[in-house]
Amino acid sequence: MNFSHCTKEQAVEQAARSGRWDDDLRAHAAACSVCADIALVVRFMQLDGELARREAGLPDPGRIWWKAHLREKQMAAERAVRPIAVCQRVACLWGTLTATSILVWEWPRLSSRLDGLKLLLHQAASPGSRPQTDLFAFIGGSLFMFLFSILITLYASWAEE
Amino acid sequence: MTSEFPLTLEGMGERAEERPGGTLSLDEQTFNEFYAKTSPSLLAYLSRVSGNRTVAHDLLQEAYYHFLRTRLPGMDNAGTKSYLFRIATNLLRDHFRAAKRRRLPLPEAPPDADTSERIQLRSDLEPVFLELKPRERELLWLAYVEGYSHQEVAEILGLKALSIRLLLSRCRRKLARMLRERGLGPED
Repeated sequence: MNFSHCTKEQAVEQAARSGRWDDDLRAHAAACSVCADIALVVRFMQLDGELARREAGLPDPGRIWWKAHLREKQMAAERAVRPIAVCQRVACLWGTLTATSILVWEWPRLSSRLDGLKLLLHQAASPGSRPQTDLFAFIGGSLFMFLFSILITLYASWAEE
Repeated sequence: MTSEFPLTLEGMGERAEERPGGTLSLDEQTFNEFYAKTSPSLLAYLSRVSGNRTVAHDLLQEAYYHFLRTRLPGMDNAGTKSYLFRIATNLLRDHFRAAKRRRLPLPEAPPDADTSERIQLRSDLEPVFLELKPRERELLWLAYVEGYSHQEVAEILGLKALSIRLLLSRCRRKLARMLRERGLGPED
């Protein structure tokens, strides 16, 4: 026998579990620190185990099964639409990249057009040019609405994910 | 009861064996029979190791959900039950990790208003057990309440079988010392 191991561990554990002790084993368990610990711990654990089992207010198995069943269906559906979501993301990314590339590529031409617009706006600001002001307000508003709707679409697409 | 743990695959240590399709591993009747045999001991295990009955109920449902999603090729009843305990142990581990990060419910204090003998006994025993570390509680419960062999405990906890004897011996000594300090030993 040493501090952490005793050859009678198994026998003591069995006796503590069943409650059937012979005199020799009981005397040994009283004298051996390892076996005394085993007897005490096994008795404590058995008692606590019995208490815990009696406390059990179990959930309804039918509810668990159906919940698992529904969840499984939901996951299968999610797996099925995953490629569509990926395609949507790729399309959004591709569209954004294309628009940016066009903007960069055509910037010199756009810049000159904007200079032209600035001149027209300057002329429109001068007295007696009301019709042109309305036209530019309409174009500006449309452009703003177009950009705003693109932003909303992009946001909706990402928020869905 | 509202579930604190939504039914997700997070925390599942058995991903490789999960069913790929949209069907469950057992039909409802077979599951009900299996549940009737295993759930009282599983809930007791989860309840005592987590120290919180609400968490235990959530983890119980989660464990059976993962179990239902898993293939069970050629397992006997004992093997299936220990596999269920293995899933539950992984979920407990995830729960304790999440609790550290997000301050999830800590072990409950035992009720003190109820004076019935059973509750009184529980309020004596439970605080002692909850002072142990979760791993120590798992080890002691599986070995001395469920009666699993060292090999089975090792499989459930994901440890080497050789280390179980030593770990169990340490836990036992610690718990015995705590019980004696509280006057719950045989000589008291």
